[in-house]
Amino acid sequence: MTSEPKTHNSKPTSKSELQTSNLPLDLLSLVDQGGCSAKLSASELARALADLPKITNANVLVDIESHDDAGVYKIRDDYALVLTTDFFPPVCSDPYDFGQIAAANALSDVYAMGGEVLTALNIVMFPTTLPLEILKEILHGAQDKVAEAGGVIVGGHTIANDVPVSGLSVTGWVHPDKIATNTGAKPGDVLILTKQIGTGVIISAKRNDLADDSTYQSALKTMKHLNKNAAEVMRKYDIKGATDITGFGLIGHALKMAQGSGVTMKINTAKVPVMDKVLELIEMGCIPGAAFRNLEFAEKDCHFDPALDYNHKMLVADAQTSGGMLISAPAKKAEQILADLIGAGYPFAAMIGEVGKKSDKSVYVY
Amino acid sequence: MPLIETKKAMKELGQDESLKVVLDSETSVQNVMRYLKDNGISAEQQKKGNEFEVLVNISGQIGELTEVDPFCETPAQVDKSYVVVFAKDRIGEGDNELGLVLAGSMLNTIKEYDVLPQKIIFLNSGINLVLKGAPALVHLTELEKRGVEIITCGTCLNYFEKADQLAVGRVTNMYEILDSILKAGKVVNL
Repeated sequence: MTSEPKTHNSKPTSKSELQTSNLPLDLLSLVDQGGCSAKLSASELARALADLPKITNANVLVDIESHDDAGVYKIRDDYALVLTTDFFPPVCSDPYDFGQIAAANALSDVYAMGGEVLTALNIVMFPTTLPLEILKEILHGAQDKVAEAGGVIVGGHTIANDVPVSGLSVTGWVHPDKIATNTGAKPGDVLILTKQIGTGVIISAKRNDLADDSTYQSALKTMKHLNKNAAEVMRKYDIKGATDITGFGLIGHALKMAQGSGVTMKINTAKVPVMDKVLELIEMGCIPGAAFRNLEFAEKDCHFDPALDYNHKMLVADAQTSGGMLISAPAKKAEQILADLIGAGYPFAAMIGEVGKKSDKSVYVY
Repeated sequence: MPLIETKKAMKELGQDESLKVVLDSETSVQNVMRYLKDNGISAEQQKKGNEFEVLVNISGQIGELTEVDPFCETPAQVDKSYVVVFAKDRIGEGDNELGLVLAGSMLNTIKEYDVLPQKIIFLNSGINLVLKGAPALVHLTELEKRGVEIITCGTCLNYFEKADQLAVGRVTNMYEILDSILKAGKVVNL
Protein backbone atom coordinates (compact mmCIF):
# COMPACT_ATOMS: atom_id res chain seq x y z
CA MET A 1 0.00 0.00 0.00
CA THR A 2 1.18 3.43 -0.77
CA SER A 3 1.88 5.82 1.99
CA GLU A 4 1.91 8.82 -0.29
CA PRO A 5 -0.31 11.68 0.82
CA LYS A 6 -3.59 11.78 -1.00
CA THR A 7 -4.70 14.70 -3.07
CA HIS A 8 -7.99 16.22 -1.97
CA ASN A 9 -10.01 14.61 -4.70
CA SER A 10 -8.56 11.10 -4.60
CA LYS A 11 -11.17 8.62 -3.53
CA PRO A 12 -10.26 5.94 -1.03
CA THR A 13 -10.85 2.69 -2.84
CA SER A 14 -11.25 0.21 -0.04
CA LYS A 15 -11.94 -0.11 3.61
CA SER A 16 -8.50 -1.58 4.22
CA GLU A 17 -6.85 1.36 2.50
CA LEU A 18 -8.77 3.75 4.70
CA GLN A 19 -7.89 1.91 7.83
CA THR A 20 -4.21 1.85 6.99
CA SER A 21 -4.26 5.54 6.26
CA ASN A 22 -4.03 7.90 9.17
CA LEU A 23 -5.46 10.75 7.17
CA PRO A 24 -9.01 11.65 8.15
CA LEU A 25 -11.47 11.28 5.30
CA ASP A 26 -12.80 14.55 3.91
CA LEU A 27 -16.46 13.85 3.16
CA LEU A 28 -16.45 16.70 0.64
CA SER A 29 -14.05 14.66 -1.52
CA LEU A 30 -16.81 12.12 -2.15
CA VAL A 31 -19.23 14.43 -3.93
CA ASP A 32 -19.39 17.14 -6.58
CA GLN A 33 -22.43 18.82 -5.09
CA GLY A 34 -23.36 18.57 -1.47
CA GLY A 35 -26.02 19.97 0.81
CA CYS A 36 -28.92 21.80 -0.73
CA SER A 37 -26.84 22.51 -3.85
CA ALA A 38 -27.57 18.91 -4.79
CA LYS A 39 -31.27 19.70 -5.18
CA LEU A 40 -32.87 19.00 -8.51
CA SER A 41 -33.52 22.33 -10.23
CA ALA A 42 -36.85 23.92 -9.38
CA SER A 43 -37.87 24.10 -13.02
CA GLU A 44 -37.12 20.41 -13.64
CA LEU A 45 -39.03 19.43 -10.51
CA ALA A 46 -41.99 21.51 -11.63
CA ARG A 47 -41.99 19.66 -14.98
CA ALA A 48 -41.89 16.28 -13.23
CA LEU A 49 -44.78 17.18 -10.93
CA ALA A 50 -46.86 18.92 -13.58
CA ASP A 51 -49.04 16.01 -14.68
CA LEU A 52 -49.52 14.27 -11.36
CA PRO A 53 -53.17 14.15 -10.30
CA LYS A 54 -54.06 16.61 -7.55
CA ILE A 55 -55.22 14.92 -4.39
CA THR A 56 -57.24 16.95 -1.93
CA ASN A 57 -58.27 16.15 1.61
CA ALA A 58 -60.17 18.37 4.00
CA ASN A 59 -57.64 17.81 6.77
CA VAL A 60 -54.68 18.81 4.63
CA LEU A 61 -54.17 22.47 5.52
CA VAL A 62 -50.97 22.98 3.51
CA ASP A 63 -49.99 20.82 0.53
CA ILE A 64 -47.49 21.05 -2.33
CA GLU A 65 -49.59 23.66 -4.18
CA SER A 66 -47.90 26.60 -2.51
CA HIS A 67 -44.38 25.04 -2.70
CA ASP A 68 -44.23 25.19 1.06
CA ASP A 69 -41.55 23.80 3.31
CA ALA A 70 -43.72 21.15 4.88
CA GLY A 71 -47.19 19.66 4.68
CA VAL A 72 -49.70 20.34 7.46
CA TYR A 73 -52.42 17.86 8.45
CA LYS A 74 -55.14 18.82 10.89
CA ILE A 75 -55.79 16.36 13.72
CA ARG A 76 -58.06 18.61 15.82
CA ASP A 77 -59.14 22.22 15.54
CA ASP A 78 -56.29 23.20 17.85
CA TYR A 79 -53.68 20.71 16.69
CA ALA A 80 -52.11 19.96 13.30
CA LEU A 81 -49.14 17.81 12.34
CA VAL A 82 -46.28 19.33 10.34
CA LEU A 83 -44.66 16.72 8.11
CA THR A 84 -41.47 17.11 6.13
CA THR A 85 -38.31 15.44 4.91
CA ASP A 86 -34.94 16.65 3.71
CA PHE A 87 -31.67 14.85 3.00
CA PHE A 88 -28.52 15.46 0.99
CA PRO A 89 -24.92 14.39 0.32
CA PRO A 90 -22.06 15.84 2.42
CA VAL A 91 -21.83 19.61 2.69
CA CYS A 92 -18.75 19.62 4.91
CA SER A 93 -15.66 17.57 5.69
CA ASP A 94 -16.42 16.12 9.11
CA PRO A 95 -19.10 13.42 9.62
CA TYR A 96 -20.31 14.74 12.99
CA ASP A 97 -20.75 18.24 11.51
CA PHE A 98 -22.51 16.70 8.50
CA GLY A 99 -25.01 14.84 10.71
CA GLN A 100 -25.77 18.00 12.66
CA ILE A 101 -26.20 20.19 9.59
CA ALA A 102 -28.36 17.65 7.72
CA ALA A 103 -30.59 17.42 10.80
CA ALA A 104 -30.75 21.19 11.43
CA ASN A 105 -31.70 21.64 7.78
CA ALA A 106 -34.48 19.04 7.91
CA LEU A 107 -35.84 20.32 11.23
CA SER A 108 -35.92 23.81 9.77
CA ASP A 109 -38.88 22.97 7.53
CA VAL A 110 -41.03 22.44 10.63
CA TYR A 111 -39.88 25.80 12.00
CA ALA A 112 -40.59 27.50 8.68
CA MET A 113 -44.27 26.56 9.16
CA GLY A 114 -44.20 28.05 12.66
CA GLY A 115 -44.20 24.59 14.25
CA GLU A 116 -42.41 22.68 16.98
CA VAL A 117 -40.53 19.41 16.55
CA LEU A 118 -41.94 16.15 17.93
CA THR A 119 -40.16 13.16 16.35
CA ALA A 120 -37.73 12.38 13.58
CA LEU A 121 -36.66 9.38 11.51
CA ASN A 122 -33.15 9.13 10.11
CA ILE A 123 -32.76 8.84 6.36
CA VAL A 124 -29.29 7.54 5.66
CA MET A 125 -27.28 6.23 2.74
CA PHE A 126 -23.78 4.98 3.31
CA PRO A 127 -21.01 3.36 1.24
CA THR A 128 -20.10 -0.17 2.31
CA THR A 129 -16.44 0.71 1.65
CA LEU A 130 -16.18 3.35 4.38
CA PRO A 131 -15.49 2.62 8.05
CA LEU A 132 -18.61 2.39 10.22
CA GLU A 133 -17.06 4.95 12.55
CA ILE A 134 -18.00 7.61 10.01
CA LEU A 135 -21.64 6.45 9.94
CA LYS A 136 -21.67 6.47 13.71
CA GLU A 137 -20.48 10.07 13.76
CA ILE A 138 -23.11 11.17 11.24
CA LEU A 139 -25.88 9.53 13.29
CA HIS A 140 -24.47 11.02 16.47
CA GLY A 141 -24.58 14.51 14.95
CA ALA A 142 -28.18 14.05 13.83
CA GLN A 143 -29.22 12.74 17.23
CA ASP A 144 -27.63 15.65 19.07
CA LYS A 145 -29.35 18.19 16.84
CA VAL A 146 -32.77 16.56 17.20
CA ALA A 147 -32.29 16.50 20.98
CA GLU A 148 -31.35 20.20 20.91
CA ALA A 149 -34.60 20.80 19.01
CA GLY A 150 -36.51 19.12 21.82
CA GLY A 151 -37.45 16.17 19.62
CA VAL A 152 -36.59 12.50 19.61
CA ILE A 153 -35.30 10.18 16.90
CA VAL A 154 -37.57 7.15 16.84
CA GLY A 155 -35.92 5.16 14.06
CA GLY A 156 -34.72 5.40 10.53
CA HIS A 157 -33.69 3.62 7.38
CA THR A 158 -30.23 3.01 5.93
CA ILE A 159 -29.38 2.10 2.33
CA ALA A 160 -25.98 1.19 0.88
CA ASN A 161 -24.96 3.82 -1.67
CA ASP A 162 -21.81 5.12 -3.36
CA VAL A 163 -21.91 8.42 -1.51
CA PRO A 164 -23.16 9.12 1.99
CA VAL A 165 -26.51 10.88 2.33
CA SER A 166 -27.99 12.10 5.58
CA GLY A 167 -31.25 13.71 6.58
CA LEU A 168 -34.47 13.29 8.46
CA SER A 169 -38.13 12.81 8.05
CA VAL A 170 -39.58 15.08 10.73
CA THR A 171 -42.94 15.25 12.40
CA GLY A 172 -43.83 18.43 14.23
CA TRP A 173 -46.97 20.13 15.33
CA VAL A 174 -48.51 23.56 15.06
CA HIS A 175 -51.74 25.22 16.13
CA PRO A 176 -53.73 25.66 12.91
CA ASP A 177 -54.10 29.40 13.66
CA LYS A 178 -50.32 29.81 13.90
CA ILE A 179 -49.32 28.27 10.58
CA ALA A 180 -46.85 30.35 8.59
CA THR A 181 -46.68 29.65 4.85
CA ASN A 182 -45.49 30.92 1.49
CA THR A 183 -48.95 32.39 0.96
CA GLY A 184 -49.05 34.69 3.99
CA ALA A 185 -47.00 37.72 2.91
CA LYS A 186 -49.07 40.91 2.67
CA PRO A 187 -48.47 44.25 0.97
CA GLY A 188 -47.03 46.62 3.56
CA ASP A 189 -45.06 43.86 5.31
CA VAL A 190 -41.34 44.13 5.96
CA LEU A 191 -39.00 41.28 5.02
CA ILE A 192 -36.68 40.03 7.76
CA LEU A 193 -33.89 37.53 7.15
CA THR A 194 -32.58 35.82 10.29
CA LYS A 195 -29.19 34.44 9.18
CA GLN A 196 -26.32 35.55 6.98
CA ILE A 197 -26.13 34.03 3.51
CA GLY A 198 -23.19 32.71 1.51
CA THR A 199 -22.80 29.10 2.67
CA GLY A 200 -22.93 27.75 -0.90
CA VAL A 201 -20.03 29.95 -1.97
CA ILE A 202 -17.99 29.09 1.12
CA ILE A 203 -18.45 25.32 0.73
CA SER A 204 -17.46 25.61 -2.91
CA ALA A 205 -14.39 27.62 -1.86
CA LYS A 206 -13.52 25.03 0.77
CA ARG A 207 -13.68 22.35 -1.91
CA ASN A 208 -11.21 24.36 -4.00
CA ASP A 209 -8.91 25.20 -1.09
CA LEU A 210 -9.86 28.86 -1.25
CA ALA A 211 -11.62 29.24 2.10
CA ASP A 212 -9.58 30.00 5.19
CA ASP A 213 -10.49 28.09 8.31
CA SER A 214 -12.36 30.88 10.08
CA THR A 215 -14.53 31.46 7.01
CA TYR A 216 -15.30 27.74 6.75
CA GLN A 217 -16.05 27.54 10.49
CA SER A 218 -18.44 30.49 10.27
CA ALA A 219 -20.36 28.65 7.54
CA LEU A 220 -20.52 25.47 9.65
CA LYS A 221 -21.73 27.48 12.61
CA THR A 222 -24.56 29.15 10.74
CA MET A 223 -25.65 25.87 9.09
CA LYS A 224 -25.81 24.11 12.48
CA HIS A 225 -27.79 26.94 14.04
CA LEU A 226 -31.41 25.82 14.59
CA ASN A 227 -34.26 28.03 13.43
CA LYS A 228 -36.13 26.94 16.58
CA ASN A 229 -36.03 30.29 18.37
CA ALA A 230 -37.00 32.13 15.20
CA ALA A 231 -40.13 29.96 14.98
CA GLU A 232 -40.93 30.88 18.58
CA VAL A 233 -40.70 34.58 17.73
CA MET A 234 -42.90 33.94 14.68
CA ARG A 235 -45.59 32.33 16.83
CA LYS A 236 -45.39 35.13 19.37
CA TYR A 237 -46.16 37.72 16.68
CA ASP A 238 -48.63 35.59 14.69
CA ILE A 239 -46.47 35.65 11.58
CA LYS A 240 -48.36 34.21 8.62
CA GLY A 241 -45.76 34.47 5.88
CA ALA A 242 -42.38 32.77 6.27
CA THR A 243 -40.04 30.30 4.60
CA ASP A 244 -36.52 29.06 5.22
CA ILE A 245 -33.77 29.88 2.75
CA THR A 246 -32.22 26.72 1.33
CA GLY A 247 -31.30 25.28 -2.07
CA PHE A 248 -33.10 27.80 -4.29
CA GLY A 249 -31.25 30.68 -2.67
CA LEU A 250 -32.69 33.91 -1.27
CA ILE A 251 -33.97 34.90 -4.71
CA GLY A 252 -35.66 31.53 -5.36
CA HIS A 253 -37.38 31.29 -1.99
CA ALA A 254 -38.43 34.95 -2.03
CA LEU A 255 -39.91 34.34 -5.47
CA LYS A 256 -41.85 31.30 -4.28
CA MET A 257 -43.25 33.28 -1.36
CA ALA A 258 -44.07 36.31 -3.51
CA GLN A 259 -45.87 34.14 -6.07
CA GLY A 260 -47.60 32.09 -3.39
CA SER A 261 -48.83 35.27 -1.70
CA GLY A 262 -49.69 37.14 -4.90
CA VAL A 263 -47.45 40.07 -4.00
CA THR A 264 -44.26 41.73 -5.19
CA MET A 265 -41.18 41.79 -2.98
CA LYS A 266 -38.37 44.31 -3.04
CA ILE A 267 -35.00 43.20 -1.74
CA ASN A 268 -32.27 45.67 -0.93
CA THR A 269 -29.02 43.70 -1.35
CA ALA A 270 -27.09 46.27 0.67
CA LYS A 271 -29.13 45.18 3.71
CA VAL A 272 -28.81 41.44 3.17
CA PRO A 273 -26.57 39.95 5.87
CA VAL A 274 -23.65 38.12 4.25
CA MET A 275 -20.82 36.11 5.75
CA ASP A 276 -17.30 37.55 5.64
CA LYS A 277 -15.23 36.83 2.53
CA VAL A 278 -18.23 35.67 0.47
CA LEU A 279 -18.33 38.70 -1.85
CA GLU A 280 -14.56 38.47 -2.31
CA LEU A 281 -14.89 34.80 -3.25
CA ILE A 282 -17.66 35.59 -5.74
CA GLU A 283 -15.44 38.30 -7.21
CA MET A 284 -12.76 35.64 -7.74
CA GLY A 285 -15.26 33.59 -9.75
CA CYS A 286 -16.08 31.15 -6.96
CA ILE A 287 -19.74 30.86 -7.98
CA PRO A 288 -21.25 27.40 -7.53
CA GLY A 289 -23.27 25.93 -10.40
CA ALA A 290 -26.38 25.95 -8.20
CA ALA A 291 -26.33 29.77 -8.20
CA PHE A 292 -26.53 29.83 -12.00
CA ARG A 293 -29.31 27.26 -11.87
CA ASN A 294 -31.26 29.33 -9.34
CA LEU A 295 -30.83 32.49 -11.37
CA GLU A 296 -31.97 30.72 -14.52
CA PHE A 297 -35.10 29.54 -12.71
CA ALA A 298 -35.92 32.84 -11.04
CA GLU A 299 -34.90 35.59 -13.43
CA LYS A 300 -37.90 35.66 -15.73
CA ASP A 301 -40.09 36.68 -12.77
CA CYS A 302 -37.53 38.96 -11.15
CA HIS A 303 -36.17 42.36 -11.98
CA PHE A 304 -32.57 43.14 -11.19
CA ASP A 305 -31.72 46.81 -11.01
CA PRO A 306 -29.28 47.58 -13.84
CA ALA A 307 -27.09 49.36 -11.27
CA LEU A 308 -26.93 46.23 -9.11
CA ASP A 309 -23.41 44.91 -8.78
CA TYR A 310 -22.98 41.48 -10.39
CA ASN A 311 -21.51 39.92 -7.25
CA HIS A 312 -24.62 40.83 -5.24
CA LYS A 313 -26.82 39.37 -7.95
CA MET A 314 -24.97 36.06 -7.69
CA LEU A 315 -25.04 36.29 -3.88
CA VAL A 316 -28.84 36.32 -3.72
CA ALA A 317 -28.87 33.29 -6.05
CA ASP A 318 -26.41 31.32 -3.89
CA ALA A 319 -27.91 28.03 -2.68
CA GLN A 320 -28.02 27.89 1.10
CA THR A 321 -27.94 24.82 3.26
CA SER A 322 -29.83 25.12 6.54
CA GLY A 323 -30.25 28.83 5.88
CA GLY A 324 -32.17 31.38 7.90
CA MET A 325 -35.83 32.26 7.97
CA LEU A 326 -37.31 34.83 5.62
CA ILE A 327 -40.16 36.40 7.57
CA SER A 328 -42.82 38.68 6.18
CA ALA A 329 -43.54 40.87 9.21
CA PRO A 330 -46.26 43.48 9.68
CA ALA A 331 -44.45 46.83 9.37
CA LYS A 332 -45.73 48.14 12.70
CA LYS A 333 -44.19 45.30 14.65
CA ALA A 334 -41.10 44.81 12.50
CA GLU A 335 -38.69 46.68 14.79
CA GLN A 336 -39.88 44.72 17.80
CA ILE A 337 -39.73 41.39 15.96
CA LEU A 338 -36.20 42.16 14.79
CA ALA A 339 -35.11 43.02 18.32
CA ASP A 340 -36.64 39.77 19.60
CA LEU A 341 -34.84 37.77 16.92
CA ILE A 342 -31.50 39.36 17.76
CA GLY A 343 -32.17 38.64 21.41
CA ALA A 344 -33.09 35.04 20.57
CA GLY A 345 -29.62 34.33 19.20
CA TYR A 346 -29.72 35.66 15.66
CA PRO A 347 -27.28 38.60 15.81
CA PHE A 348 -27.22 39.06 12.04
CA ALA A 349 -30.99 39.24 11.59
CA ALA A 350 -31.88 42.23 9.43
CA MET A 351 -34.69 43.91 7.52
CA ILE A 352 -33.82 43.31 3.90
CA GLY A 353 -36.81 44.59 1.99
CA GLU A 354 -40.51 45.09 1.78
CA VAL A 355 -43.67 43.59 0.36
CA GLY A 356 -45.85 45.52 -2.06
CA LYS A 357 -48.85 44.95 -4.29
CA LYS A 358 -48.34 42.58 -7.18
CA SER A 359 -46.73 44.30 -10.16
CA ASP A 360 -45.33 42.88 -13.40
CA LYS A 361 -42.40 41.15 -11.70
CA SER A 362 -42.65 39.18 -8.46
CA VAL A 363 -39.30 40.20 -6.97
CA TYR A 364 -37.28 43.39 -7.47
CA VAL A 365 -33.65 43.23 -6.43
CA TYR A 366 -31.61 46.39 -6.05
CA MET B 1 -13.25 25.50 -10.77
CA PRO B 2 -13.47 26.60 -14.42
CA LEU B 3 -14.90 30.03 -13.62
CA ILE B 4 -12.13 30.90 -11.16
CA GLU B 5 -9.44 29.86 -13.66
CA THR B 6 -11.19 31.76 -16.46
CA LYS B 7 -11.39 34.91 -14.37
CA LYS B 8 -7.76 34.61 -13.33
CA ALA B 9 -6.65 34.10 -16.91
CA MET B 10 -8.74 37.02 -18.15
CA LYS B 11 -6.99 39.38 -15.78
CA GLU B 12 -3.78 38.66 -17.65
CA LEU B 13 -5.36 38.83 -21.06
CA GLY B 14 -4.17 41.63 -23.35
CA GLN B 15 -6.44 43.49 -25.78
CA ASP B 16 -5.14 41.58 -28.77
CA GLU B 17 -4.97 38.21 -27.07
CA SER B 18 -7.60 35.47 -27.08
CA LEU B 19 -8.29 32.95 -24.36
CA LYS B 20 -9.32 29.38 -25.02
CA VAL B 21 -11.01 27.68 -22.06
CA VAL B 22 -11.14 23.89 -22.30
CA LEU B 23 -13.97 22.30 -20.29
CA ASP B 24 -15.28 18.80 -19.83
CA SER B 25 -18.86 19.47 -18.79
CA GLU B 26 -21.67 21.14 -20.66
CA THR B 27 -22.99 22.72 -17.47
CA SER B 28 -19.63 24.36 -16.83
CA VAL B 29 -19.67 25.70 -20.40
CA GLN B 30 -23.13 27.18 -19.85
CA ASN B 31 -22.06 28.74 -16.55
CA VAL B 32 -18.88 30.25 -18.00
CA MET B 33 -20.75 31.53 -21.06
CA ARG B 34 -23.46 32.98 -18.85
CA TYR B 35 -20.90 34.66 -16.65
CA LEU B 36 -19.10 36.19 -19.62
CA LYS B 37 -22.36 37.36 -21.21
CA ASP B 38 -23.53 38.90 -17.92
CA ASN B 39 -20.28 40.81 -17.76
CA GLY B 40 -20.54 42.03 -21.34
CA ILE B 41 -17.73 39.90 -22.71
CA SER B 42 -18.28 38.17 -26.03
CA ALA B 43 -17.38 34.53 -26.32
CA GLU B 44 -17.88 31.62 -28.66
CA GLN B 45 -18.26 27.98 -27.79
CA GLN B 46 -17.57 24.78 -29.69
CA LYS B 47 -17.60 21.07 -28.97
CA LYS B 48 -14.53 18.95 -29.72
CA GLY B 49 -15.00 15.27 -29.02
CA ASN B 50 -15.67 14.93 -25.32
CA GLU B 51 -14.38 18.42 -24.63
CA PHE B 52 -15.81 21.87 -25.02
CA GLU B 53 -13.97 25.03 -25.88
CA VAL B 54 -14.92 28.57 -25.02
CA LEU B 55 -13.07 31.30 -26.89
CA VAL B 56 -12.87 34.67 -25.22
CA ASN B 57 -11.51 37.95 -26.45
CA ILE B 58 -11.86 41.17 -24.54
CA SER B 59 -12.18 43.33 -27.65
CA GLY B 60 -14.66 40.90 -29.18
CA GLN B 61 -12.37 40.04 -32.09
CA ILE B 62 -11.57 36.36 -31.94
CA GLY B 63 -8.87 35.64 -34.46
CA GLU B 64 -6.95 32.49 -35.21
CA LEU B 65 -5.08 31.21 -32.19
CA THR B 66 -1.47 31.26 -33.25
CA GLU B 67 0.82 31.46 -30.26
CA VAL B 68 -0.65 29.22 -27.61
CA ASP B 69 0.49 29.77 -24.06
CA PRO B 70 -1.10 27.29 -21.59
CA PHE B 71 -2.49 29.09 -18.55
CA CYS B 72 -3.26 26.04 -16.46
CA GLU B 73 -3.41 22.28 -16.87
CA THR B 74 -6.60 20.59 -17.90
CA PRO B 75 -7.48 17.67 -15.69
CA ALA B 76 -7.81 14.60 -17.94
CA GLN B 77 -10.86 12.43 -18.02
CA VAL B 78 -9.76 9.31 -16.21
CA ASP B 79 -12.00 6.26 -16.45
CA LYS B 80 -11.71 4.59 -13.08
CA SER B 81 -12.84 1.25 -14.45
CA TYR B 82 -10.04 0.97 -17.03
CA VAL B 83 -6.61 -0.47 -16.25
CA VAL B 84 -3.75 -1.40 -18.61
CA VAL B 85 -1.20 -4.12 -17.79
CA PHE B 86 2.19 -4.38 -19.52
CA ALA B 87 3.61 -7.80 -18.49
CA LYS B 88 6.42 -7.48 -21.06
CA ASP B 89 8.21 -4.60 -22.75
CA ARG B 90 6.91 -5.35 -26.25
CA ILE B 91 3.58 -6.05 -27.90
CA GLY B 92 2.85 -9.38 -29.54
CA GLU B 93 5.01 -12.26 -30.79
CA GLY B 94 7.14 -12.21 -33.94
CA ASP B 95 9.67 -9.50 -34.48
CA ASN B 96 11.13 -8.16 -31.22
CA GLU B 97 12.09 -4.80 -32.65
CA LEU B 98 8.60 -4.28 -34.05
CA GLY B 99 7.18 -5.32 -30.63
CA LEU B 100 9.18 -2.56 -28.92
CA VAL B 101 8.02 0.07 -31.41
CA LEU B 102 4.42 -1.08 -30.95
CA ALA B 103 4.67 -0.74 -27.16
CA GLY B 104 5.80 2.88 -27.52
CA SER B 105 3.14 3.54 -30.11
CA MET B 106 0.45 2.05 -27.86
CA LEU B 107 1.48 4.27 -24.93
CA ASN B 108 1.35 7.28 -27.20
CA THR B 109 -2.13 6.24 -28.37
CA ILE B 110 -3.35 5.70 -24.81
CA LYS B 111 -2.17 9.23 -24.08
CA GLU B 112 -3.98 10.72 -27.09
CA TYR B 113 -7.23 8.83 -26.54
CA ASP B 114 -10.27 10.68 -25.11
CA VAL B 115 -10.52 8.54 -22.00
CA LEU B 116 -7.50 7.71 -19.90
CA PRO B 117 -7.00 4.57 -17.84
CA GLN B 118 -6.97 4.84 -14.08
CA LYS B 119 -3.72 2.86 -13.84
CA ILE B 120 -1.00 1.39 -16.03
CA ILE B 121 0.75 -1.55 -14.39
CA PHE B 122 4.23 -2.80 -15.37
CA LEU B 123 5.44 -6.35 -14.58
CA ASN B 124 8.41 -8.57 -15.51
CA SER B 125 10.23 -7.18 -18.60
CA GLY B 126 7.45 -4.58 -18.83
CA ILE B 127 9.52 -2.58 -16.34
CA ASN B 128 11.90 -1.67 -19.19
CA LEU B 129 9.25 0.80 -20.34
CA VAL B 130 9.46 2.84 -17.12
CA LEU B 131 13.24 2.88 -16.59
CA LYS B 132 15.58 5.78 -17.25
CA GLY B 133 16.23 6.18 -20.97
CA ALA B 134 13.13 4.25 -22.05
CA PRO B 135 11.89 5.63 -25.39
CA ALA B 136 8.23 5.96 -24.37
CA LEU B 137 9.00 7.72 -21.09
CA VAL B 138 7.73 11.04 -22.40
CA HIS B 139 4.26 9.58 -22.93
CA LEU B 140 4.20 8.02 -19.48
CA THR B 141 5.31 11.23 -17.77
CA GLU B 142 2.55 13.09 -19.57
CA LEU B 143 -0.02 10.43 -18.61
CA GLU B 144 1.03 10.65 -14.98
CA LYS B 145 0.70 14.43 -15.07
CA ARG B 146 -2.84 14.01 -16.33
CA GLY B 147 -3.86 11.80 -13.43
CA VAL B 148 -3.02 8.27 -14.56
CA GLU B 149 -1.29 6.18 -11.91
CA ILE B 150 1.86 4.53 -13.25
CA ILE B 151 2.73 1.61 -10.99
CA THR B 152 5.55 -0.90 -11.29
CA CYS B 153 6.07 -4.26 -9.61
CA GLY B 154 8.71 -3.90 -6.89
CA THR B 155 9.67 -7.59 -6.97
CA CYS B 156 10.42 -7.26 -10.68
CA LEU B 157 12.56 -4.14 -10.21
CA ASN B 158 14.54 -5.92 -7.49
CA TYR B 159 14.92 -9.11 -9.53
CA PHE B 160 16.43 -7.17 -12.45
CA GLU B 161 18.32 -4.91 -9.96
CA LYS B 162 16.79 -1.81 -11.55
CA ALA B 163 15.04 -0.31 -8.52
CA ASP B 164 17.26 2.79 -8.66
CA GLN B 165 16.43 3.40 -12.31
CA LEU B 166 12.67 3.84 -12.07
CA ALA B 167 11.96 7.09 -13.96
CA VAL B 168 8.20 7.49 -13.70
CA GLY B 169 5.40 6.57 -11.31
CA ARG B 170 5.87 4.55 -8.17
CA VAL B 171 6.67 1.09 -6.90
CA THR B 172 3.88 -1.24 -5.89
CA ASN B 173 3.26 -4.79 -4.64
CA MET B 174 1.23 -7.77 -5.80
CA TYR B 175 -1.60 -6.88 -3.40
CA GLU B 176 -2.27 -3.54 -5.08
CA ILE B 177 -1.84 -5.08 -8.53
CA LEU B 178 -4.44 -7.77 -7.80
CA ASP B 179 -6.69 -5.27 -6.07
CA SER B 180 -6.53 -2.91 -9.08
CA ILE B 181 -7.25 -5.68 -11.57
CA LEU B 182 -10.16 -7.08 -9.57
CA LYS B 183 -11.77 -3.68 -9.13
CA ALA B 184 -11.38 -2.61 -12.75
CA GLY B 185 -14.25 -3.05 -15.18
CA LYS B 186 -11.86 -3.35 -18.15
CA VAL B 187 -8.34 -4.78 -17.94
CA VAL B 188 -6.25 -4.46 -21.08
CA ASN B 189 -3.39 -6.98 -21.04
CA LEU B 190 -0.53 -6.14 -23.40
